[in-house]
Amino acid sequence: MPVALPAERSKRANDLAQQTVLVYGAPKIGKSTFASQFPGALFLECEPGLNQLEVFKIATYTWDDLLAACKLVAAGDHPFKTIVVDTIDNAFKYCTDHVCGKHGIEYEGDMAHGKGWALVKNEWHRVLTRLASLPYGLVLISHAVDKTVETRTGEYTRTQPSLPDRARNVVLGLVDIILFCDTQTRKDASGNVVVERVMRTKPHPTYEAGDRTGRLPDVLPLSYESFVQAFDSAASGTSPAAGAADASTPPGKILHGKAKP
Amino acid sequence: MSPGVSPFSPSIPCTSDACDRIDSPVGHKHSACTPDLTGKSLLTFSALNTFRNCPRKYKHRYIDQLQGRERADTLAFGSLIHAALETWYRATDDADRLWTILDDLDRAYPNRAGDPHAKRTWQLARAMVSGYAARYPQEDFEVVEVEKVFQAEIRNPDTGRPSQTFVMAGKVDGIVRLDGELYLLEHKTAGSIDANYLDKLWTDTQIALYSHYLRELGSPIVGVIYNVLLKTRIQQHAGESQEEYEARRAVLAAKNKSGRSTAKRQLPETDDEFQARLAEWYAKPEAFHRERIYLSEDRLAMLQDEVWEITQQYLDARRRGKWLLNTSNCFSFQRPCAYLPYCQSGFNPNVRDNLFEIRPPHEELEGLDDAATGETLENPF
Ligand code: SF4
Repeated sequence: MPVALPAERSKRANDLAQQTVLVYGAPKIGKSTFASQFPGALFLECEPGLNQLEVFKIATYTWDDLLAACKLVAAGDHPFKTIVVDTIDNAFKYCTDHVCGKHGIEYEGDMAHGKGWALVKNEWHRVLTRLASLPYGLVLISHAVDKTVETRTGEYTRTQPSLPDRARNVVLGLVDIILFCDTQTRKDASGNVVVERVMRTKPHPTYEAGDRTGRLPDVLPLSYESFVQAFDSAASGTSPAAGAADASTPPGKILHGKAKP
Repeated sequence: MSPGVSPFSPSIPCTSDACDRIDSPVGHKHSACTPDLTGKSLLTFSALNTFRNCPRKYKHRYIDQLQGRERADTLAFGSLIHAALETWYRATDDADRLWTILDDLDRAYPNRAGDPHAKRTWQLARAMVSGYAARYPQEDFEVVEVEKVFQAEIRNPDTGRPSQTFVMAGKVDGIVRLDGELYLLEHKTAGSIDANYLDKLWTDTQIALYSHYLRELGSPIVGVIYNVLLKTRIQQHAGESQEEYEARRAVLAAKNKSGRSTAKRQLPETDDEFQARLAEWYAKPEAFHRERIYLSEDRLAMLQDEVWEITQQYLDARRRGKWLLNTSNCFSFQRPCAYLPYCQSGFNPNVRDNLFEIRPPHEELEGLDDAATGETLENPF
C-alpha cells in the first residue's frame, strides 16, 4: 500500500461495544432494563430478579458457573455483543466463597498475613480484566449504598456501588463510564411535581460517577435511547447536552461540621 | 497567576492533570499554581521524602494535589495530642491550662455519646493529657519556641550557594533550653517502646534536617529531646449479656457440688470507672518516655548533600516530565500506598475523580505565621 500523508485526523473509537460501563443505583430503578437494551445483550445472572425481562441469560449462581459462562463467551461462537454481569455485588460474593472454599477457610481474614484478602482480590481482578478485554461491550450492574465519609473538617454521606472497597477499586479502575441511576424532581409546565429517573455521569462529592469518554452530559434520562443519542451526538460533534435532563439539582450536599445530611 | 502555570517556573506550563479539570466536582483551586512568599518554591520534608520514595507519588500528591477522601484515624489522634501539647507549652504560666485542653478535647468530639470510636479516642486523649500533666507539672528545660515554622535556604554543599528554585520550609514542635543549650522538642505518640523504637529515632531524618536549618537561622540546636507518649491498649469493659452471664453461671454451677453458683452478672464498666483505670495506667512510669539524641556534624553534612541531590533529581524529572513509579514502595509500612488503585488502573480518571479529592498539600504549614517573614503560609507550594 502506498504511503501518503493523512488528509484528516483518525476517528476516536465510536463504538459503544468497546466501552466498559458500570451502572449502579437503588433496587428497581431500572438498571437491568437499561442494560438489556445494549446490542446483543447476554446476562450473566448472579441474582434472581430478571423475571420481568425477556433477555438472553445464563444463571451464574457460583463462581465456577460464572467462569464457565465467561469461557463460552470468550470462545466467540455466538451472536452476543454485550455481556452484562447482574449484579457484580453477588459475583464478588461468589468469588470470595470460591477462594475461601479452595483454601479451606471460612473467611478471607482466616489466612495469615492478609493472604486471603489478596487471593480474593487477585482472582476478582484476573476475571474482570479478562472480561473487559474481550471484544464485547461489558456492563456491570451494582446496587447503591450510602456511606458516611469522615474528612478532617466534617462528614458527609456519599452514595457508591455496594462492593467492599478492595473490589470496588478494581472495578473503578477498569470501567470507562460510571452511571449513577438516581431520581430527580422538577415542576412541569402546569406546576406539578414530576419525579424522573436519571443517570448522573460526572463525579461529585456525594456520589460516584464518571465518563472517560467525555461525551455524556452531566445528567441524562435513564433510558437507553437518551444514552446512545448523547454518546453518538457527541461523537458527531453535536452538543452532548441535547436532550439532557436538568443538571442543576445534584442530590445531597457536603455538610461541614459534624452534622449529617 | 492563572491555573495552568507551574509554581516552579512561571514560563513552564503546569504538568498537572488537575489543571485540565475545569469541571472538577470540588472546584479546582490549584494552589501549586500560586507563587510562594519568597519567589522560590517551598519544599517540605514530606514533599522531599515523598519524591525520594516514589516520584509518581510526589506528582499525585504535590502537583495534582490528590488526597484520599477519607481521613486517617491514626493521624487524627496524633494531631489531637500535638495540639494539646502545643496549648500546654504555650501557656506554661496558666494554672488552668489543663482544663483548657480538656475543654478543647470535649469540643473535638461532640458526637462521642453516639459514636463508640469517637468516645474511645476522646477518653484516651483525656487520660493521656491528664497523665502527662501529672507527670510533668514542671520541666527541667525552659520553653523557647512552640510550633515554630521556618524557612531556610537549601544550599549546594560544594559551593555553599543557595538553590535558585527552592527554600526548605518546616515546622518543629518546640525548641527548649536545657543546661544552657538548645534542643528540639519532638512529640511522638507510640503504641509501644522497645529497643528498636529507640534505634529508629536515629533514623529520623526530618528532625535532623530541621535542626540543621534552624542552626542556619541562628538557633544552635545541639540535639533532640523525643517526648514519647504511649497509647494504652486497654479497653472499656462491655460487661456480660444476660445469655453470656447465664452460660457462665451454668458452667460454674456444674463445677460446684451444690449445683448452684453465686456468680453475679458482670455489668458494663462506667465511663468514670474506665477513666479511673486509664488514669492508673497513665500513672505508670513507662507511660511516658523522654529520649535525648545528639546530632553529629557528619550526619548533618551528609543530609545536606542528600537534600541537594534530591532537588537536582526533582528538577530533572520536572524538566523531562517523567515521574517514575517506584513499585517497591507501594507496600512500605505494611500497608498499600493510598494511590495504589490509581496507579493500578493506569491512571483511569474515574479512579482519580471518585476516590480522591483535590486538597492543597503542606497542611502542616497552613495558617501558621512564619516568624521569619511575619506572613502567613496559606498556600505554600
Ligand atoms: S502506588 Fe506505588 S507507584 Fe503508585 S504512587 Fe504509590 S508507591 Fe508510587
